[in-house]
Amino acid sequence: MPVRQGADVIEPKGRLGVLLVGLGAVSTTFIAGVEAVKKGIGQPVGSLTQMGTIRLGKRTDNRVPLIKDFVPLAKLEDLVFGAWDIFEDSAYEAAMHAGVLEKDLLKQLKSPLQKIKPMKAVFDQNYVKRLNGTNVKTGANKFKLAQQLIDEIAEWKRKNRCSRVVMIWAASTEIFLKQHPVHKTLESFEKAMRENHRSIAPSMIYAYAALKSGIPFANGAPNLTVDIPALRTLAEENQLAICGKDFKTGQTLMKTIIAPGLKARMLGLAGWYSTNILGNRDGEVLDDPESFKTKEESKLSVLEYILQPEVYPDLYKDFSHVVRINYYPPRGDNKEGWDNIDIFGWLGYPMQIKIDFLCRDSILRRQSCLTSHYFLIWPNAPV
Amino acid sequence: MKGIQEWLSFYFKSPQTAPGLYPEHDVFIQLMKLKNTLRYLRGEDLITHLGLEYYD
Repeated sequence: MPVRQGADVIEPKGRLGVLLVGLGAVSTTFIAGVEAVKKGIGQPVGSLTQMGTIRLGKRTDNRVPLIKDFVPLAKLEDLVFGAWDIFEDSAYEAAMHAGVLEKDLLKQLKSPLQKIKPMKAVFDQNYVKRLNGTNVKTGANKFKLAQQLIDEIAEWKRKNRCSRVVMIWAASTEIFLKQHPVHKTLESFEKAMRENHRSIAPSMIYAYAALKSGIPFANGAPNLTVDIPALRTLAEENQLAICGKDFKTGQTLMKTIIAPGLKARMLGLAGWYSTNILGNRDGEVLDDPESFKTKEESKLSVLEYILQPEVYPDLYKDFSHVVRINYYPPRGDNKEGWDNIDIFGWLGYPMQIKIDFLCRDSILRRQSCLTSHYFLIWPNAPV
Repeated sequence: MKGIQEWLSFYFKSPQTAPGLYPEHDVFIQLMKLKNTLRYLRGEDLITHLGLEYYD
């Protein structure tokens, strides 16, 4: 991730295009939130760039600027949104349908939201079994589909008079894919695209199109996408930033807050059982075992890496970690996550912690969208 | 900046890292890493929280 100390950061000028893959609950909540903040009818709570500070120098120096004042970031007024989706709904219709934000709030934002109409998506139901839509591109092969995206991005950037663009994957979790030999080099990757190889998922086609177009890419889902040598090489060759995977929001965010605390005090862990109910599109997609497998891999690794059982075998060896996601339509976006944590303390005496997190999936994810894309485009500093 | 931006791990459940490197999941370490990267890029001193200078 080469970054240069004291880099000559280029001041943001002009409009920053934010291209979102997927115009569902997460993206529309993100866009509506930005529009609400611009109008002064909402606060960007949870956004590190907008509300966070950074201490500089000694504690006695009293230099604690807001991050957005410390680093040159684009103003919210300079953001322009575009999206692809398999459904034709505008951002306004999609937001109303998602049911995350109150209808009264959305009605106040109708004008900017209605203008955002999704472009036709690159989609293949083999990778997301539970979804099907009609707003979909057709092409002779995956390489041709990528070329269509590249042309579309260039046209969108020109039409919206953007000086720079970022792309964020805010679409569904694809089926579990492992790295394959075709992912090794850019040549083998492009050849596989031409041959419609099964190991090239739609998310990779978007990422390839972004990196070919000189656009950084953030992966908000647990899909393999840019975590392959071919696309890492392409990003480095084109001097572009990439990051991922899978926005950390609800239950896993809680895990990465609680687990370091237990470890810091050398408390042991016998097991951590997590279960969720959610009824949004994300929940529906994850109801498919193949998509859940991708998600499960992403969720399970967290505790292993934080607790380091190989370093602390007496405390963390063989702890049981179970994660369940249950699709339960009545709950919609208002996810509920339960955690039962079996810990042990002095002389091995067992104790339990219970967490019941009544959260809002898309509200939490939106915060990650806003800040991560900002840093991706900043700084445009030479390495 | 180019390639994987590990300092943005703060936002991700399954942080992307260089091959062979284990990801840092602890949200507090992730935040420290993110802020120190910003300080580094802007040419500010990194904050280690050693704090010996207050007791000289």
